[in-house]
Amino acid sequence: MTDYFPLVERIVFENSALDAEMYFRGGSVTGLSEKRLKDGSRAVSFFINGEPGAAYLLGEAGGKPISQAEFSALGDFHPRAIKLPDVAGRLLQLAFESQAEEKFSVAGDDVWGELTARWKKESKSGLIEARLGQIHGFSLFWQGERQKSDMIFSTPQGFIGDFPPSVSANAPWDIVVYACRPQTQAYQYTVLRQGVIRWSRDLLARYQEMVGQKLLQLLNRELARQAQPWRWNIAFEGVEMFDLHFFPYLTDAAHAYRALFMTMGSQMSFVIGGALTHRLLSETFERIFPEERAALQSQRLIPAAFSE
Amino acid sequence: MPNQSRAFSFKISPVRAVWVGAAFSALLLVSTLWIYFSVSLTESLTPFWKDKLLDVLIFIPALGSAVAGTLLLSQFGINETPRRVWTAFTLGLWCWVGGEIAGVVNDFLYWDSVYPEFSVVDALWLAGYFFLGLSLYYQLGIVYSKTRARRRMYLGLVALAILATAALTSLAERSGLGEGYAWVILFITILYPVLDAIQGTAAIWTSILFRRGQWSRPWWGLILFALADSVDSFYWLGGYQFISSAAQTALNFIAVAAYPASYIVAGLALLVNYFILRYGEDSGLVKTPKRIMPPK
Repeated sequence: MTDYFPLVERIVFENSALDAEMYFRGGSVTGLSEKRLKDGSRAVSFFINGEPGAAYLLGEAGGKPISQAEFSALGDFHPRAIKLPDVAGRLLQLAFESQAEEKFSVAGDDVWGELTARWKKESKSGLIEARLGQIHGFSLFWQGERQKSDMIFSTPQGFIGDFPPSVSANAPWDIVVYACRPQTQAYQYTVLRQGVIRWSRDLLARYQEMVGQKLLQLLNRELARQAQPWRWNIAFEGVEMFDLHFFPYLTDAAHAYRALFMTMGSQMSFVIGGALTHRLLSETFERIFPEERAALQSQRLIPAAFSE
Repeated sequence: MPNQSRAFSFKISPVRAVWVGAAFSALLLVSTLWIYFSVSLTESLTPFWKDKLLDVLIFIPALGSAVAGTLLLSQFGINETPRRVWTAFTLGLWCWVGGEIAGVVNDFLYWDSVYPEFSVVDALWLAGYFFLGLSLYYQLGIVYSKTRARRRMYLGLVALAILATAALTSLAERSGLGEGYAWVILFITILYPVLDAIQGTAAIWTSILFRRGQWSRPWWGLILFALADSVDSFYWLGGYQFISSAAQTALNFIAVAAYPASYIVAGLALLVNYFILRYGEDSGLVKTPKRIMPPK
């Protein structure tokens, strides 16, 4: 079993896992603490923006969730601790909670192009782990499309949010395709996030069509003001929402999305009126995929909640 | 993050500019009503000069609304969808400004003689209706999806309006209305109230659709315009003689007030929308949504 993101510099601690916890908590950063166990297996524990997140015992079949107390009790006094961007953290967690269904190598642009075309045709949803030497990363395919907000690679130049340019060379990439497990929290969070991204994109596009670019920019600035005090790493550019935050719990994510949609609904109601805002919300809500819609409904993220 | 904050310095803040505009408009409206209804002024001014004075007082808000529309238009990119709505709206207003000017010129030329049956005034008024109707069509087209069926329905409504006007014209001709005028002139005369009714209904529909949204407020001007014109149409159809003198005064008041008020409402709404687009939240005219803050 090889390291996750091996190019990421290991944080050196003088004294055990306790220091790692203090480091993550103190800096409110996201990261991973990884222990190598005597039997050759490994255990990992997430810190999400300074807060302890899920922990897993890793085996060939994937990750088995364990409690933080269990993780602390595991022997390895010098765990590998690395700092991660939120996207890397949440995709890694999704990988731990998914089942590896295919492993193969891909070399060259043509083969890679054929593969992505096939996934697009099949409307495939799943997580791809790609590794080329020390370069390592994840990319989420959703309904056959690569997701800009859910793609990250660790390269010698640092983390990048796209496939590294060397993918076009002929060196083979080791690919693992993960099938997601619908009952897991990481998957439900992914569906919710994709639903929110799609809904907001359609909604903002319709709003822009109605009122123009400047009022959309005004709304985007207001959304940034809503996100800022919470330190949510969520940005809006034009009609696109870039959600780069890692929420530890589904309810935290739903809370953030609710606040953002409330801001959208409120500002839109001021400009185009409550009735039309409700119409746009409903019209665009109906257009998103049924699975995403169900995820949004389960968190009460519905048109009626955001129109005045 | 882009567009985070921009700071503008104002010689006069947009809020104050809107308030000054509103106060000036109120003054114009009161002056218009006073000149129209004042007995002492009627005695000291000839009807011609009283009429010209009223023309000037109506021309100012008409021009103001067209200028505000042009300012608003300048805030849209060339390919932006709402641009065509407000281009048509502004062109409609400019046509009516042209109509107001042409009307004054006509008065100077024909006050003591016979006015032409069809003049540039009518052409400008009808062009104004065309562009304002087009803006309503574009606006409703953005709200509802532009399917072929809807476009057919729109064209059907236009055809229906023309047929209804033609039928009303024939009816009016048979009842002796507009005696001595050519059929086409009578048709155009009747077209005005028909267009008023259609445009007024569409504007009310748009306003209901937008409810109290800031974006819909320029359409309120069209509703007032339809109201003012409906009184004129009622009189033209002979309704004047069937109502009491008190009702006549009330209707006169509505017509005289609603006409300039239509320009004023449209103009102020366009001005507010312009300031919001130009200065965003710095304009002080944007209602800030209630933010959910983290616990301290």
